[in-house]
Amino acid sequence: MSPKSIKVRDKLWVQWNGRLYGVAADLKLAQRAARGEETQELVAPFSCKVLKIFVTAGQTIKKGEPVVVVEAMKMEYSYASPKDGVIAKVLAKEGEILQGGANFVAWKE
Amino acid sequence: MKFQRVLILNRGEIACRLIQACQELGLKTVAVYSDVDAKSRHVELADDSIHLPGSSPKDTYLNIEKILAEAKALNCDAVHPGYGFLSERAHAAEAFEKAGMKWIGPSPKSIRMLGDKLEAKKLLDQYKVPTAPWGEVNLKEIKALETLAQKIGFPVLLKAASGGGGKGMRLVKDEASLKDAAESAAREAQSSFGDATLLVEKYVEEPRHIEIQILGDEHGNVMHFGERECSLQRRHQKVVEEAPAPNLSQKAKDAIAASAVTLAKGVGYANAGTVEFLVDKNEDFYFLEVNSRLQVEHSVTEAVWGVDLVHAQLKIAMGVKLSELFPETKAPRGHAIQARVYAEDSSKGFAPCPGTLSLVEWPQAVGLRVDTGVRTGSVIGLDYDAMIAKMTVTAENRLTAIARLLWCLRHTVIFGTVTNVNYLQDILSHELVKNGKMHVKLLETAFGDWSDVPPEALIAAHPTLLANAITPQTAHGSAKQGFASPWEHA
Repeated sequence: MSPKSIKVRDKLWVQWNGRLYGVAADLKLAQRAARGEETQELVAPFSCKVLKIFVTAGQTIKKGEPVVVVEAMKMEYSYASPKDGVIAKVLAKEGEILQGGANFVAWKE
Repeated sequence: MKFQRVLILNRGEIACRLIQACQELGLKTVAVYSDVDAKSRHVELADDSIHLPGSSPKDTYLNIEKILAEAKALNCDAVHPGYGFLSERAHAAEAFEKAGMKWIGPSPKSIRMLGDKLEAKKLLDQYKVPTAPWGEVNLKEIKALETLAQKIGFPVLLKAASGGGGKGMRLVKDEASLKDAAESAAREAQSSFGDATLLVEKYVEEPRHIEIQILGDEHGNVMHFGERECSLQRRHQKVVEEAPAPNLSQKAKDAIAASAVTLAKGVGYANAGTVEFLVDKNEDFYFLEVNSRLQVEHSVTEAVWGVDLVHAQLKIAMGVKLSELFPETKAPRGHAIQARVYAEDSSKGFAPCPGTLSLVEWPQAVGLRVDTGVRTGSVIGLDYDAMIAKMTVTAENRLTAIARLLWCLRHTVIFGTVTNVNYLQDILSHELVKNGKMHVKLLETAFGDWSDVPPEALIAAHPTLLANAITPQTAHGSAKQGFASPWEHA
């Protein structure tokens, strides 16, 4: 089976050996992602309503601890911290509608 | 009751499927569509259509008043609700019937009795249908909830009393996590069904989900079309379904089907419906719920029984008797499996992945049926279910069916958004699935940490892939003009 690919904006969509992948069109970014070096941000993956926030500014949290619960299409999705760190600021409010890509929190460096 | 013009009260693949069935029987169809669905396939297929301004379900596909007025103006004399949306709303069925449109589905009375899980559970004792220990509770009575859960014994399952489809459903392992789970379930129940009442039920460990397809006519007759095995679920929603059920004795199949038929006959059920059960390792079974409508996975039953359930629904609604519809005894033949293709990220909690499908290609294959409402250029939005298609294969036996579905998934191209196509391939390749040893927790336990990174060879081939990349085409044939980015909707 020969691979098939399509480029849409900054994304390269590939059918590889019968499986489907979306990788960065930029080679360096694609390589970094493949090594698991994706940015450890915590963003809304799609527009959603924030239902519950479990963290406060200044709080130290561990990877895997719950941060927010959001709702989209009448289903709830909870998001956990992708890393150990300290919350500098909570950027979302309960009840707020967020656009996809919006950060839930800011991290202390 | 004769009718000529059927309102297709749905969207996506099921609307397309219903339109085909109606047109095959010489009936005219009227589609409904929201703003974002204006260019959808179902609108093109239908003979006429009704625009429902807006995009939220409330303003559009659930907007009974608006739909009723427009459908009357277009002389619709029947309505098929499909699944989801208004399909199990008794008040909707009533409103349409009152306006002189035949509701192609069970009577409002049946919907009310069976759709309300509490009512249904009360009927079960009457018809001696086995059921797991349960109780109902309002979230405000958190003490009562705790007492009830303790009495039933952990683990318990919380469910929305007036809903289905996995929404508002939570498994609670211990008392410590009860309160949070109940609050979350009640919120989901409230926003989905407008009723926060929860049902607490004994959780049967590692059960299988087995359901019986039934058809009742309007003359008091009920028959069944065997069982479907639907244990492969994520977030309590089915992803892979098959018929017949593997590794289940004929004795158990017969007993479960007989229970379903008794219940349906008891309530005078007419038209298509499904009675769902949980089955444990000893083949003991417990009633789960009735879906008083056509189901997403009806295709696997159609494949092995050689019937068209939508044709049957339409004819039943016209008053035809089951004995006339099926003069000869039917028996299942071969094996069918369906995979639901979703625009979602299976490695990130099945988060929906909205976007524009920049390329969609289904395989040309022996024994494959693709039900879909989308094509290249279609947009998967956030207002509705993120299902892209149902792929159903039929083969002479189960292992061939699995191999066939895998082949078909490997020859499917969907570019422009993340889908569960790779996840589905991995499910179908799993030993326990191949051996027919499924249970409703299998995907959670065996695929809970599923992830999928592009293989090294792909990254190595990146420059070539980029150089050979096709330029996306729009429906108008222009490469750039009017082409929407998948991220514009993200």
